[in-house]
Amino acid sequence: MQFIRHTLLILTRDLRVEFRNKSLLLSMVIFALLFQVLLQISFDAKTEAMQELAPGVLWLPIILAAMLGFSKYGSVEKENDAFAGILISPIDKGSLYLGKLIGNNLFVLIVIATSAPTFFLFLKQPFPNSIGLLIVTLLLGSWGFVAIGVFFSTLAQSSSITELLVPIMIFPLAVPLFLACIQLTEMALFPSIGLGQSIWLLLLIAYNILFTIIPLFLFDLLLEV
Amino acid sequence: MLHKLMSPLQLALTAITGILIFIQLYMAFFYAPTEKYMGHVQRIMYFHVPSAFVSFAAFGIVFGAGIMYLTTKNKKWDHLALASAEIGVLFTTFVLFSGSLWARPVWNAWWVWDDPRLVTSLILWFIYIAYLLIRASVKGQDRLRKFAAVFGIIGFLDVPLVYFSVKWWRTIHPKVIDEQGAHMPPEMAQTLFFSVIAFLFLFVTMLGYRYVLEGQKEKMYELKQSSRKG
Amino acid sequence: MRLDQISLSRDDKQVLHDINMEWKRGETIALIGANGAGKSSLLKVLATLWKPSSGKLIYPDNTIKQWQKNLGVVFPDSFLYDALTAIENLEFYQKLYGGSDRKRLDSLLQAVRLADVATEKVGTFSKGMRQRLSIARALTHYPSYLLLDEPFDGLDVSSRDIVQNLLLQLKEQKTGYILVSHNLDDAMHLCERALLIDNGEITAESRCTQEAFPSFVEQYHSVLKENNHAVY
Repeated sequence: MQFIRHTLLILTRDLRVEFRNKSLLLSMVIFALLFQVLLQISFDAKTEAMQELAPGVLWLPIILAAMLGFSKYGSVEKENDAFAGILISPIDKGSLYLGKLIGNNLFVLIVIATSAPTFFLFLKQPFPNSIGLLIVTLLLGSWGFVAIGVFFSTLAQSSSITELLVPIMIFPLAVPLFLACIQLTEMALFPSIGLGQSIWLLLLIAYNILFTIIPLFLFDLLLEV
Repeated sequence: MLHKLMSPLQLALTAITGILIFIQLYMAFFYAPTEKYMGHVQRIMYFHVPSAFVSFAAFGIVFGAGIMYLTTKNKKWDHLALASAEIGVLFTTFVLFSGSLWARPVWNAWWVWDDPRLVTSLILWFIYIAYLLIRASVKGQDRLRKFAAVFGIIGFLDVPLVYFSVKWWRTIHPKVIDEQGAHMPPEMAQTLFFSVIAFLFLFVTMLGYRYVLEGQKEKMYELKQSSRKG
Repeated sequence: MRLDQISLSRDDKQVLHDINMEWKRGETIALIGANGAGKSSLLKVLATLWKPSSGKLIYPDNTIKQWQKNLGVVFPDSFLYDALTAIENLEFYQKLYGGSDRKRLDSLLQAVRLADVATEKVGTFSKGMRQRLSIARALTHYPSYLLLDEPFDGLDVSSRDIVQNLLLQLKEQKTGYILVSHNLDDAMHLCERALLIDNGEITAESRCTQEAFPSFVEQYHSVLKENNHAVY
């Protein structure tokens, strides 16, 4: 109970601050749209070629916009050293992780909600083969990526490791997630001989569980001095 | 105390490793027969495969030492992890390099995305480069050591996920080593086996030196401090 | 609270050497020393922000979480969120410590004379207002131990009086605090005991009474002189 209350506390604080500034969410959304347009222009999509490229064109703007979020979301904690105020408080730091994870993911979902429709607008074959699978993939994929991103960026921040290292740390670790997302998206977008759909879903779910549960329990231990 | 005990052991180990590597070179170049189709290029295998074993062992040690550091908070484990990661990156680099050299004439390409082992090695290399970059960013802080340990543990746990995802990614891929293994003449198999052993010895020797060096660095640091105090 | 042989190293430098001290509940202690003597570092160790490289902290209730719960901290950095209003900041910190008592927050804002700007964003506050709000922030959860790192730094005369009165009030209510300050008068008036810290070691100790204090002051000045010699 206490844990959930603290999670909500962190979540509402971050959202309140971010919505008051608005700049982060706006720049994430605009960046994703812009990048989407750039990709579409540079590939000058022909329908056949697009079949190969489409999943990447859908995911790359989302991933990079999420990346923008990791370093900036909750950067208010750097003002006046407020992060130290959290560190010395008696809360379970796992709730800090979960609160940030939910908040960050909310932002990424908003990005998806604007970026994915645009994707279909530009795409010449406008209807996905299976919209359900696409939505599930987008939800699971963004959660997993945000989970690993929040975990490492928060830890990096507390260990005074430069932000520049965060992408270098999380991209290689996120390779299985990327592969699963791309595969599932391809199956969702186009009618395919779709073998192995369940195995990819399983991988995605396992990855999400792993990177949600591990940080939740480790955070307290890792942030204590 | 420990260092005085260590050096004769280390000397012996170094000597044995030298002899083993010498024999290994002889076996790889002269004892093992030339492969029928690939020719001399195939001899790369006697260096490539053992290096892969070493790099995997090295990252296994980073993982184990990370866990030990987190539970005991003894800096020795952290030194071991760092030493092992550096050597691991070195050998992984060699694995990628030698693999490419072999692949060019045999697969007719420097690089293929179809082979899970290849791609996993590359990702592995990136993960441990990141590990070393983390280590290099700030010095001598417990939080940083802890962070590095966590990254080492999660990075290692991630490896099977990477491997299987790349494997499922391209379900049709050639089984490179296994097929050869089945048809390998005994001299080849013996050479390969011996090479793995020799390289593991090489690894342990290098690890020993690097580990001792790290301990000495720490001592140096403590001496500097106590001199400042006095 | 007891510190047993605490040493601390940060970035290749040893900042604290074998600190032994005891802090009884409700006791008020002044920590005096030259710049860079290790005062702030000692507070950071007490605040559980930094971990000592060796030695042991013996918490009154044996658990670190319980200690954190009973502790209030005022550091040079205010820990405040500029985008939130004064009252939102206090509310956040109160909830962080598991409380929710609006009356307490209002009375604290009264006490630091910020009640009329309660709904304004902290980003618009002056240094003195932030410092006062930071003190209120540290008190939302009725801590029985308080760490104050130069709370008078950069305050104008009226802010200073407000904070001083607040501390005297706390002292009467038996809230213990450790006050880091350069100002010996403050130490004398606001605390029961004074510790002199020099080069990471506690070198002198005195009760803050008319009879005992002058010799302590003497020692402090000699330390300052010595340091100046070392620098120039």
